[in-house]
Amino acid sequence: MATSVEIPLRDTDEVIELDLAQLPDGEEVLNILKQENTTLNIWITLALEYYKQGKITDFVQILESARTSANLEYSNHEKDQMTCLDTLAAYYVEQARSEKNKDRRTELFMQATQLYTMADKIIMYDQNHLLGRACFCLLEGDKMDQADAQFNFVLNQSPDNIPSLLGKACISFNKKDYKGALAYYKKALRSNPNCPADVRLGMAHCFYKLNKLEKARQAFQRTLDLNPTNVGALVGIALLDLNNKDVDSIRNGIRLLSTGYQIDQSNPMVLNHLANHFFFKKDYDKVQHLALHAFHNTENEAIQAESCYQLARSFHIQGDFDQAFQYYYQATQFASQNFVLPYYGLGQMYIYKGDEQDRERAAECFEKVLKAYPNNYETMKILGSLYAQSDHPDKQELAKKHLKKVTEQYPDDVEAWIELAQLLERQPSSTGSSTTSDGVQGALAAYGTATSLVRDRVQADVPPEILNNIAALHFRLGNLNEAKKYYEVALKRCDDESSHDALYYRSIMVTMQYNLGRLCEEMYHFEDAVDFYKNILREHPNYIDCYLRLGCMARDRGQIYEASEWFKEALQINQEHPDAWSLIGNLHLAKHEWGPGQKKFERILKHESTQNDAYSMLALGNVWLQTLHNPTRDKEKEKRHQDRALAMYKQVLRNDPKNIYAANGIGAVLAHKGYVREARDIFAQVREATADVPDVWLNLAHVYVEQRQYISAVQMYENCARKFKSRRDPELLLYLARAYFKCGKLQDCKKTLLRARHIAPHDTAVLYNTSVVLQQLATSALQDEKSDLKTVLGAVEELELAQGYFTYLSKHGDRMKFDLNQAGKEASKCRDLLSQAQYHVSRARRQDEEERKMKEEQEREKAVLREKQLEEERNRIRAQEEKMRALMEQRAQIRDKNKALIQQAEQQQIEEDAPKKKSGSKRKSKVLDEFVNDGSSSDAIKKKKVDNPQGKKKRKLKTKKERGEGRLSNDDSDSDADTSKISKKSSSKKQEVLSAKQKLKIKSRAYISESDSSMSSDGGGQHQQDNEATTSHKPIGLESSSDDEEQQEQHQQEDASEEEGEEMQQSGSDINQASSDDEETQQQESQDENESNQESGEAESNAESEDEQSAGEEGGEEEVAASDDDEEMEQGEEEGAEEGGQEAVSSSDGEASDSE
Amino acid sequence: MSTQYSILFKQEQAHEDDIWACAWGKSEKDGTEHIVTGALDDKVKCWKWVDEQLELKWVLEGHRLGILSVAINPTGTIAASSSLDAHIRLWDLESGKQLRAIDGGTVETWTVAFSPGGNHIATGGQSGKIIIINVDDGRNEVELDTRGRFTLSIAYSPDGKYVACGAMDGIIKVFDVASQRLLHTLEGHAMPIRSLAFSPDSHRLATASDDGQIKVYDVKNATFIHTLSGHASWVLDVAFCPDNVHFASCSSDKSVKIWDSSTRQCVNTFYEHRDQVWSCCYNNNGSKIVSVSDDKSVHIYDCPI
Repeated sequence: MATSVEIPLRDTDEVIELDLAQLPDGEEVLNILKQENTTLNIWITLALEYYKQGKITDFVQILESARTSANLEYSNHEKDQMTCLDTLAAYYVEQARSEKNKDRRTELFMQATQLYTMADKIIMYDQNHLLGRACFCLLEGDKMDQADAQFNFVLNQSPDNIPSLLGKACISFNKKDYKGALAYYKKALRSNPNCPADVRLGMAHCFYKLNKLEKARQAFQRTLDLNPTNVGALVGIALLDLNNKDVDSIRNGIRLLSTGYQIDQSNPMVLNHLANHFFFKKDYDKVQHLALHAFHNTENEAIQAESCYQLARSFHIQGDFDQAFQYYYQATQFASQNFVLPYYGLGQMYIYKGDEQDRERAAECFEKVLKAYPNNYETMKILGSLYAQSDHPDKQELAKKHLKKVTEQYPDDVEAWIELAQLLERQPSSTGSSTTSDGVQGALAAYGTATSLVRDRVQADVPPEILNNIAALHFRLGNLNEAKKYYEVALKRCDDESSHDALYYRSIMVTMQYNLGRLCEEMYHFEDAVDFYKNILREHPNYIDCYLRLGCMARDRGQIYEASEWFKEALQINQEHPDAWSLIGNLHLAKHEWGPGQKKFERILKHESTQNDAYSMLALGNVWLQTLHNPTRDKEKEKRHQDRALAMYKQVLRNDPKNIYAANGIGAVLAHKGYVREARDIFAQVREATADVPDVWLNLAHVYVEQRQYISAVQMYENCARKFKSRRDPELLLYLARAYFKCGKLQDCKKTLLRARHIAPHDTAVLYNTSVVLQQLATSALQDEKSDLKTVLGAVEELELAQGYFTYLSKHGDRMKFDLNQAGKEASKCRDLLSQAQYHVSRARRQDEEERKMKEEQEREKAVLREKQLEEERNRIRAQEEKMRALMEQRAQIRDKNKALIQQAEQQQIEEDAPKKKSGSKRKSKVLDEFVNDGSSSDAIKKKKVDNPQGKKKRKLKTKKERGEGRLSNDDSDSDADTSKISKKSSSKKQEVLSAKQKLKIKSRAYISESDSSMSSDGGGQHQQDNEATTSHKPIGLESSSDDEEQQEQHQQEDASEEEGEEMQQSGSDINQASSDDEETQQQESQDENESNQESGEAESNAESEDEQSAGEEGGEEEVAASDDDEEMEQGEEEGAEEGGQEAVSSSDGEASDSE
Repeated sequence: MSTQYSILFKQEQAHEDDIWACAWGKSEKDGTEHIVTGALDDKVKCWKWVDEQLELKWVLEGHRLGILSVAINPTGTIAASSSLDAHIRLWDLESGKQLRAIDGGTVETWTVAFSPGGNHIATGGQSGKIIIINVDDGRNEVELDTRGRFTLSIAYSPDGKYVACGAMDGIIKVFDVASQRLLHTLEGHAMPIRSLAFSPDSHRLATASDDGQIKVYDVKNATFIHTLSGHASWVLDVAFCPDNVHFASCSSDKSVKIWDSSTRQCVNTFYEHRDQVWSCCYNNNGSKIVSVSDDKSVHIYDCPI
């Protein structure tokens, strides 16, 4: 190697010799070079020398000048020109690579590009030039393919071109073809074993990527051997060591990293890894310092992402969530798809923020993590609990999926089990009653697993919260004793734990006591329940739920005044408590005080936080519906009320499309408006949705009645009574009786009414209806020519009773339920019937005697006949005997005696048998006749409905009556609804209380979740835990309140159903109207008949019997309707007129029968 | 004597319809144990309890519209029955003959109760009045006006001093029989009182109401002693045990419960019936209980004494 450079002097042969070891100042040399017009090659040589000696500015200066000022007048100068340009370009590229300033960097790149383009014009395919260009392309990042092509070109020319090989290796590496990269590196190494250490480094990275860790380590080591200051190798070995995860290795790795740091303080890799290290050392200041440094020392986005992540993490763990959020967010902006840790952190930050929207964003973040790591258990768990918080059923389904997967993969994760249990126990409320037991059962199973895990693995006592929740689930399943057991254990555990956090445990103990109170109520231990509630109130006078429950219990005992006192007490604490207001409203409605009740519910809706309260809206809808039950002449008003009710129900449905009570209400309004078929469809759908609401059953039955499908109606009523154990409900019995009456089953009707009377002896409506049926039955029994004496006498007796009842009712009846005058008229009708009864009695008696006589006669005839037969036989025997006598006289004598005896006996027998048989058959036939008569009478009734000339009037009456009935029934239903509402309301009240409780519970959850957090390795865990804790706490709250909440919902539904019930009644009246419409044609016919009737009022002796029956019908209807008040008054007048007609008929009947 | 509560005998299809009333009496003459039942099928049936079995002795016909209440006089010879047809009929249990039919007025008859002496029957109805009828001539001897609502239930104290009645609105009134004065008005319930029973020592009065609760009062001072709850529905009947400690109750929840009034606990619950149990009654030494139900059956239970 030359130690000096000779610069030939211009125009002479002399040279200036420059000693390379002592290069003069660049400026000086440049002047010499310019002056002497030196050839380019010398410029380049000198420049390179300067470069080698680190005198970069001189190097650049010389080369820049060489481009323009150098002497090109020698052969082969193009080559040197190329070298000059390429070298300078390469330098700029190099500069650009290490330049952090973006603007400056692009400037450098521009310069390089310019130079390369210039070079391109000189010799396009110079190898070195191409290589330089390729490297430049590589560096620019997005021109990898171009670079690849150039490398390929070079390699085609000289297959062993090392820079090309290295370039190709680099490209392969970046394209993740690590094997290919490795092959290129090896080839390069083979061609030149003295390659720079970086080749080894590249190989090491390839090995690492190929997961050949040992080889990677060797390669790193070799790199270090060749170049002890190679930071990349240091970092590589450090990483390998760190990943070994044992203490020594980690120490070693850290040592290497520090070495690397000493060598290059700005290497972002080193900085990041060191930051990571210090994070675990909890030296967060250092972390921040290093990570920030790293961030500013790199343009590589992946590394920046990591730096941001490190920064965020350190802020996160220090509790500076705002900063952490920012850095996480930044990290996610930089991060590559596979680097999802920042998303995890960001998700945690979103959870920390806690808004609904934030939770959704958090879920998005965690979804990203889960996409990268589909089986990551922490992520699934977090997602599970995030989704579990959502009210949306789909999200809950997702949550269930995640949590189930977690519990499948990690069956020991107590927290996941609890979370799952809490999710499941909430589920039924959103998915409807049909899956209730599934959800509850599943939750119970999950809790069971959780508790056994806690007990067996963690060796800890089961937290009382969980015990409470389990108890609540058992409560929901109806395992009351089981529930009680768990509550008691939970209380005891609270006692034990109370030393740890007295305040908290005392607060959850209150919840448990409340739950126990509810349980006692459910077990009908009302006294104990009262004790629990009052105990709670002694310590926590603001526990509104207790007041409400106490009020509800008083209400259920019938102590309405006390109930309202309790509810008012609750209002003292919270003026706007919607449940208290609803309960009071229900009390009003139960007493038929519509106005005050309506005000209460309107008050609830006026309040902002409860303006969409479905329960109140339903209640109001029901109130409007209720008003429809009082028939008015004011069609406008009726329509207005219908529309109002409809609007309410629609509003409810808008808010909750699945509200079956609203649907039922709409059905009722439709029925009112006369759309019976549509109403029936709605009711049928509602019943499909839930079979747990008696009102729907009743409504369906009412519709059946309207559609004259009495058998179906009866079945529906009876099913309802069976399913809901409401044989104690006189109202339902009245409905049933009405259906029986309408389909002519008077005996069943009578029995049903007697049952109602047994239950509610004071109910004059029942008494009235009973009287009507008795009258009707007696009338038909009397008129039946074939009734035997006993039947007739019984009928007379019952007629007397009916008369007595009617007389009593005409004086003491309830004017609100039926027309007293009508009762009086019925009584006189009974009297008339009774006066005719004597005729029937004597007829029956005569008939009875005739029958007896006939029987006797027949017996006599038979006896004669038999006598004859006997005679003949005797004669024959005698003949035989005569024959025999010849043979044995003595024996014959004895035989004679015997025969005589036998004959006597036979005679007796025959005589006895004959009458018995006859009488038996007669009776049978009579019975049959009776049945037939019944049938015919019922037929007649039906016919009359269709044929009746008076049809119009009667129908009107009927509808009115039915309306009245509807009203009555409605009232009953209302009261029922009220109770249900109250209970519901009470539950809702509980909910609110719970919210307070929930907070407490949340704390408890935090406690539970702490263990979880310890499990979670990440520093971010705390936030998660908090979130989880909140979610889990809520479930606890839910549990305790679960009954209540359910009840709330149910109550609302029930309310709705109650409303429905009302609706049904209303619908019943509507239906009547509708049916009348349907029958228009018939009516027309009947009109015609009417006219004829009017013309020939008395003439129709044929129709008389029918008329009577129809009168009976009317009476029946009256019975049914007996409970109506106002309407009945009006009706009464009309009916009175009709009755007059009926009486005439009946008297004519009497005549007819007389004539007969 | 058994040591625990158990079902002893079931007479299925004892009537053709819902059975609403029962009574248990022991004839002083011959020691025959009679059980009388009344049902919606209009029949009063008299059964003999022999060899741990029910033996149908008489079917007593005459009532209409369902039998509401039956009672047997203290000597165990005469049964009284009332029905929805507002008649009270007296039956001779030995002969099975109707002794007398008393028209109680259209709506003034509901429950019937024999006086401890057996000479009188008390009943009441719509007007709320208690009517005391002389058994011998069937005439109304005394009317005690409660000025209250429909009298659903009525009971004589075993010492003959008091008669108590329970009304539709839950109000209970206690009268002094001798002076015919109203002694106490008890307002613990707000729902219909379907049954009342005095303890054998006449000191306490147990009341059964539709509110599902049974309350026990001190008769003399008219003080409330305690409430017993446990029935899931209306309590339809209560009957004191001759031991003065226990009493039985039956309910629409289909159960028959036995209570210990000293510990105030339910000591046993029978879930043998398939429908609401309308009436129950102890025999005279307290070793057996009879219950009747809408499921048309009559049950006899064994009780420890």
